[in-house]
Amino acid sequence: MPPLGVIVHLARRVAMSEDEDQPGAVVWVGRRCWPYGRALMGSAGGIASTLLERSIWVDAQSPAERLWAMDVALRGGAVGAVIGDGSGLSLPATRRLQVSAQAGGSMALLVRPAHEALELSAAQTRWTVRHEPAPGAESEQGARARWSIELLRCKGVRPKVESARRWVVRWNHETGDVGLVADTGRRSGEAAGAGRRSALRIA
Amino acid sequence: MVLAGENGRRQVAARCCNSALAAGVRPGMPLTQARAIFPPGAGALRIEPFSEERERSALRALAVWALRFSPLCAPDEPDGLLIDVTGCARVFAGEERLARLVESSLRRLGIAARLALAPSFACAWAVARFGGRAISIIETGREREAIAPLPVEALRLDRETLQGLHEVGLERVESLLAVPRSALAGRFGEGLLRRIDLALGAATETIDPVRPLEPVRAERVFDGPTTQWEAIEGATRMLVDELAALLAARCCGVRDLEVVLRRSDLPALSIVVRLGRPSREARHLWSILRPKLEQANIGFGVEGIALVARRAGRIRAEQAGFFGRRKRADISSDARLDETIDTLANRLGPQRVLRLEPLQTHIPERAFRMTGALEDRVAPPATGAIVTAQDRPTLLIEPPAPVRVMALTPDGPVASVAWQGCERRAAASIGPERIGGEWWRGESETRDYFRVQEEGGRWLWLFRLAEGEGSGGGKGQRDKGTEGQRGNRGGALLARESGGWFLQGVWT
Repeated sequence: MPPLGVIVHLARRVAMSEDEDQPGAVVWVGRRCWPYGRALMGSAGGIASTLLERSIWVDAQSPAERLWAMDVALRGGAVGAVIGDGSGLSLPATRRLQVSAQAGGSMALLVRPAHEALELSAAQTRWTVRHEPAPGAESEQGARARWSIELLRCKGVRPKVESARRWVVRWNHETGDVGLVADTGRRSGEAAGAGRRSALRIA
Repeated sequence: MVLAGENGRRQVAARCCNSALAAGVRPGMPLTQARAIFPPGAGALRIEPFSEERERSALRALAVWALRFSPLCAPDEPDGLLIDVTGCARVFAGEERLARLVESSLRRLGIAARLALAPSFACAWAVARFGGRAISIIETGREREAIAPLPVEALRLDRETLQGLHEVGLERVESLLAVPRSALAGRFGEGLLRRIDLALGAATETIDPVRPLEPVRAERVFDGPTTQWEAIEGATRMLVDELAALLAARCCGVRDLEVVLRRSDLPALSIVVRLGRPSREARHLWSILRPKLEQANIGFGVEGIALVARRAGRIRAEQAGFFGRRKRADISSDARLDETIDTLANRLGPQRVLRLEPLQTHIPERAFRMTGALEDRVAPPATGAIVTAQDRPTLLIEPPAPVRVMALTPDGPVASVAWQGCERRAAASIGPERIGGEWWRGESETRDYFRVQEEGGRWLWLFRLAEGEGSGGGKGQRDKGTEGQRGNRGGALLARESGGWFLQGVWT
């Protein structure tokens, strides 16, 4: 399953960015990576639906179709981020997306299923997201989904320390994004239902 | 049939059809009275809201339709049509036949009309409304005869003048004509004299005819049929440029662009391209047309190509580039986003490029509706959303998947969940949160939602179908059966197999 909590957080950052030059639209390619609309809105009092309004949903099915749609969206230069279902994409396909993202100057996130973890990819960075159990008993109100995010690969950089590339984040349903959890890094990640994601990020 | 309008705070019958008129309904009558004329058992009375705007546009459409009889037609509000048939009668073999043709054509449209053909508009207006016959034709020079027996209302006078005329006992036009002009002018003003002159044809009246806007089109005809892609491509690109220039002159852009390929020995092929917002950017139009043209079946060759702007929309004037140079960055990012949407939607199909719109409901799977991104947005989004402070999953499973759930006590916390063939123990279980069915739609289904954390850390959003509220505990078995049937009919839920537990969402 795609790590939608983290993705929604990143998409929100793009959509809400104050930068005038940066377009705020977010394109979601492929039904598999479409989150529930409520996650885009947050449940705090005032409806922060900017992300919802700026989202375009593209129902592309085959890998070729998804690749084309992501490519068009990236090259148009009018979207802030493209989030795509990356299952079944080959190495040349990811390379093409990397080039398009660089040309259009926007962020591309590819969601790949766990069984494609060993596939090659031309992405700038690759991350893996796993479910993280709560550290202890939580109160009813405080119990939230947690994920651990691990940086697997970053072009040109080799992280030296193990702990410096693993973070635990916690879902905040009021704002619809994730926040870093303070006590991090002691627990070993569970493999159950792990989603895997490789990201193409352009600074 | 009655159209209901409002007069102050009262509902009145604004317009009514002939059969209602025959039954005794009159325009201006209170709606309740009109209803009383038709007893509910008869069921023949149909009441629709009255809209002045719609009436006006319908009349205008009728004026455009009437252009088949004459190039000069004008709507005459609220219920008339002025057609200038000067010189047109010859085409229809005489004025009488023309008048009869107009009448029968209108009757075929379901419109009962009274016609008058006269040398002046005012005379025709008067005779059509107040003359007794359905079709009357007045020869030149006989206007005075025609209008003399009519009541003074036929002269299109304002209410004050009419009242004044009635006060002095002038009821008919003939008695009005007998009064010296100077006396009339002194008492009722120049307006009345002008009306009389118009009706007698002594003064000329102008009408404001409708001019339907022809859709912008550009066309090329080849010397002979061609199957060469280069020729078709070149011609179409030229046409796109031409169309863009024509649209620029009209200050508008195309929304629906139709390409007609005239093929030899085959019927013409029409390709319609829809755009999310008006555009006249030749480069953009071509980028959308190109894949469509490439896939088009040109058969034995194309004889001609036509580009028609079927639907156009206004666009604001833009700063033209200096020396024809215009940078990509000059176009606003909104416009570029729309171009991206157009490209995606025209290749994948308009129903596959979507926007999400929140709706006013508590039912999770109905809380959002997808609409085509090309459609015009009617309401600003997020106005109708209901947002509870409760946590909702990031992924919704549609339709809800039946799962097997073990609970320690019937209403207690969830102990384990079996889904997709593997059973996991629950580490935490929070709930229930009750969401009731929308009873006003005839749903009695009530769901109790639980947030359940598996041992691995994954949170699931489960619900259990609760027993119907009003049915009581003892009839549980039967209620479940009906719930299952209802679910089947809705195509969503199979309650019996899973014991009423479903997985609807995951925090992933």
